[in-house]
Amino acid sequence: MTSSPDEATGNPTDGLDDIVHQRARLGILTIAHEAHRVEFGYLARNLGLTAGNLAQHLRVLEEAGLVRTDKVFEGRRPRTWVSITGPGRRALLDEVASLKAIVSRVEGVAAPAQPGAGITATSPALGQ
Amino acid sequence: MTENKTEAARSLAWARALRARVRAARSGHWFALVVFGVVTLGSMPFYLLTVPSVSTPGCHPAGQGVLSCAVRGGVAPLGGAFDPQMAASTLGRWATVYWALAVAAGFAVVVGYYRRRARAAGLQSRVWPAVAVGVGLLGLVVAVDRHGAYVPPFPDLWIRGTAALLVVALGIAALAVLERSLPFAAFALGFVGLALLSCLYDDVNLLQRVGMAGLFEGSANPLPNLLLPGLYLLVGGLCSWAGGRRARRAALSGDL
Repeated sequence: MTSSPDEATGNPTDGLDDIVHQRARLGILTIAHEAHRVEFGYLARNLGLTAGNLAQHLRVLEEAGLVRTDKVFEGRRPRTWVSITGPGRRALLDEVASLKAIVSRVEGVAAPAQPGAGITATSPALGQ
Repeated sequence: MTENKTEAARSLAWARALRARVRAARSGHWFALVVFGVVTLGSMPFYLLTVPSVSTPGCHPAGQGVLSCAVRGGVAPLGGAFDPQMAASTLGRWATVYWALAVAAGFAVVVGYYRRRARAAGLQSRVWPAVAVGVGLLGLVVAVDRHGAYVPPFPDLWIRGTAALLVVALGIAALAVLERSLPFAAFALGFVGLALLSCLYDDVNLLQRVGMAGLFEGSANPLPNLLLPGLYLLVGGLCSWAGGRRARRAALSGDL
């Protein structure tokens, strides 16, 4: 789905995945990565999206196998829980790595990028 | 390229802000710290030393006012109340029963809190692995306590009957890993150290250095081993609650 930033042409923008790079979808994946499961309403509130808009983004991510949605009834209330999948986690880490590479490249920093979003390509057991 | 950089930097900053907001919203460890702080402090009455009497299991009068008591061969990580061969002990025997019930109930209450919070906030955290660690270790310690003749490795660790502190400490450390919080992990590591100290050392000696040992003379001698870890958890939990409120407010007011 994604390639490492410099794999093909050496241009870090090549590593950006159109599905993940879209701002709302990057937000959905970032939030889902931090929580075990996140509710539809939380995503809509925190990303400033309408229900219809969010549903559309979720559909794109779900079709790409990056998130999974579970519709359940809690009492009489229907709720949709979203969780990130393994490929979704990898796609997010690749995207963050590409973004960091772009920033580093322009700043002329040879070393790997600083911890930006706190999501690293290694196991994120403990963050800040 | 510079435009790409600006956009990339903005996206990274936005992701960082989102992440901070989610972490602040889902964090619930303060509650676990308060619960286990109260559980630890609540165990103190069971650690008042008792003088063996005729009614103490394993003791019988040997004539001329002499009391003969069987000496326990093994160790009692929690006090030894479940051991049918339990002989005379200076430790309150109900400590075992208390720890077994209170720690299990503590974990159940923490799970309930996380579930209620997940429903209200719309964010679910994984808490079961920490509970599995805590309850699994509790089962092991109770089993060792039940078979008093068995001496587990590192016998010095179990002789004060405060092994439940280690169970709580490792459960909390597992929770810190699940919450991916470095400050909480550092706090949990500190508590593991304190629990080890309370299992291996008479904390009353520490208080002696600051002139406070007088409060714990006689039968109250073992109490600092529970008081210090209990206060550590309780104060840490309350500070974490206050800090969490501030972090949530800051994260909500931050630009996304």
